[in-house]
Amino acid sequence: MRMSEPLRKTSGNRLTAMMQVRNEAGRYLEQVLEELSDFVDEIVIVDDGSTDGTARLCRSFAKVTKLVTLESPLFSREWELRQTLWELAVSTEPDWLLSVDADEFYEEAAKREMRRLIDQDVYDWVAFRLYDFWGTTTHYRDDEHWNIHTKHTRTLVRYLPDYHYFTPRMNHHVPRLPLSYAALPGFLAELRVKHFGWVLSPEELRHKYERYMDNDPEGRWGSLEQYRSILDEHPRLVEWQERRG
Amino acid sequence: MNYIIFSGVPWDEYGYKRMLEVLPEREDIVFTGTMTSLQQEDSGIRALSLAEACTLPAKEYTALVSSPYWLQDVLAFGPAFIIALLERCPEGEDVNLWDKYSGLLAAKADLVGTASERLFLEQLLSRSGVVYLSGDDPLSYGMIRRGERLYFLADFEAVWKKALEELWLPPDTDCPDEPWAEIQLRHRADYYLSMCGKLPQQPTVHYLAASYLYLLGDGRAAELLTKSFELMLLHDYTDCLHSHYRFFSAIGAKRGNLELAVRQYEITAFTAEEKALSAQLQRWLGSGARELVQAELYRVNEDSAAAIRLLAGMESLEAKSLLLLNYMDTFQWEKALRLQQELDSMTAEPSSLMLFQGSGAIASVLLQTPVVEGTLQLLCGKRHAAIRSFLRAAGADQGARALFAEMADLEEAVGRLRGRTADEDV
Repeated sequence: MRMSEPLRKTSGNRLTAMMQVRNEAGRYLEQVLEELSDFVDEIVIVDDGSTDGTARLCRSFAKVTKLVTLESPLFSREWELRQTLWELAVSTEPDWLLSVDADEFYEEAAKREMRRLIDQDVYDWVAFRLYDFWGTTTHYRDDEHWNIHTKHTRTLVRYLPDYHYFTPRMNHHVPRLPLSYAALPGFLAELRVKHFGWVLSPEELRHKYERYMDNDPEGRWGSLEQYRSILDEHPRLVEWQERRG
Repeated sequence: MNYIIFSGVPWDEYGYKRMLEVLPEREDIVFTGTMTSLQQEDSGIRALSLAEACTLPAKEYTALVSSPYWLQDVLAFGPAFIIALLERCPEGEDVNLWDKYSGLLAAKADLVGTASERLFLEQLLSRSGVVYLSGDDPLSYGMIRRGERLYFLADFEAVWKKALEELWLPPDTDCPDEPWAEIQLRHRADYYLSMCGKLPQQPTVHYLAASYLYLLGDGRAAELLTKSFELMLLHDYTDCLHSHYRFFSAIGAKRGNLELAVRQYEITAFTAEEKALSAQLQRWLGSGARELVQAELYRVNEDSAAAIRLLAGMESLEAKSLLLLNYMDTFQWEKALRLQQELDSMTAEPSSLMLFQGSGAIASVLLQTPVVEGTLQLLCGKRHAAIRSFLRAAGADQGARALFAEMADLEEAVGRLRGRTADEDV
């Protein structure tokens, strides 16, 4: 039993990245894994029934220490998928967990600060500003329906072994990390994450819109207006500016 | 049985008239203050001024005290028993002064009653002998006949009656009934468990169910608390780490799962003092001092009553110093002073007490000693001795001013109280 080591360490923290993937070959997964390999200690992945070479790609990275491939996808039972990933991630006995999507990139400043963010005993989670890039990797969308960057999104959390982790049992729009972190002290970092999930051609956008509408035709889990805005012909786009220094 | 009422309000506003009707074996009942002849005739209660009341044979009377500002007079009267009827601070009174003297009144009382569930739970965590004077059960739990009148008793009235009877006639230990305190806890737990079924999305009813189950030592407390925690998060009430996680650690402590309980406490430990206590708990666990761990987990979850029950029989210096903290927290200041003297005689120098805690708690208690002495002297009518103690507490700085201001505030509050209940006594 841990007797001498405090629950919250100010040095030597191990960071595990956790991600769920599905048919990511040929997109951003390889680049994401390369970047993660530079600043995390381990990567755990749940492959939600990919039918392409995603699993093989994941296995090619030394830091991917755990990979679970689901025979049938859990996309429509998101709670179960999140839970499966959570259990896999905590089985690595991490000090901290970073929840990453297969199309998310932490900006350089965020990667540089990552160790400082976790080697402290004051707060138990860190939230970043996520930017939805739209159609291109040079511009993000900023309008009424697409403004997630105006708030912070919690993606980096300390793992406290005896804490009660609660995730709502919903089929869609389940938070990526347990809600229980909301009760713990956290830090809102002015550091940015690029999300390339919407860097899609008009045809791909229409396909994604149809998938959303098929899964949630009455807007029970999300806003129908937002779903419809996926098809906006002239979304408001803002050019991304890298930080200097 | 004879009773004397020290009310915070005039007779026509007195909120415990029904509780007086169902007093067991009532004989002479005196209201300290003024009542009209008709009021006296209707109620069967006679009114006496404070000066007149003081001529009664005090040891034949039980005092029902519903304002903390009567405490000096009640102590001077010296009744056989004191029943504190606690209320939330009324509008217009200083809340800090009211709460402090309510705490002191409760500590001096043989029985505490309150119609506020919040105060009821707070008092249950401070001492034994607490009755809730309200309830939600529509059934009758007994009856009482007085003259030609028959009174059907609600659950809490039956408990009130039993608790009062046991003041004069302690229960037969050879064939004990279920203790009245447990009966009441069970009623409250059953009520909130049924409410959880009716309001499955309501975090507070789950929390209250968990609280009563915890007090009963029922293992379902953790399950209900978990549900409450989840509902808090779903409702975006995120300020629940201390309220829920400290409570989890107390539940773990009660069940003897101290390793888990200490780790749960550590989740809530952020300040330097909390971290130091967390490290101390680990050291005690490592050295096998499990009762100290258990007692401290109770105390930091504000369950001093459970901590005191555990520590009262222990002889070690550490146990006694923890007991001292709990006496201080629950306004049992006479016991605290006696214990402190005992501790001083056990250690070479008073400051060595501080070494045990590793936190500022004991040091803070030692600093407060003259204030505690002064307050108790004030309650016993030793005004000059109290002033000397307050001056000693203040030392060379200007701290005495606050203590004297509190003294003046108390005197003013007592004056207002006497004015309200009996104009001629002002």
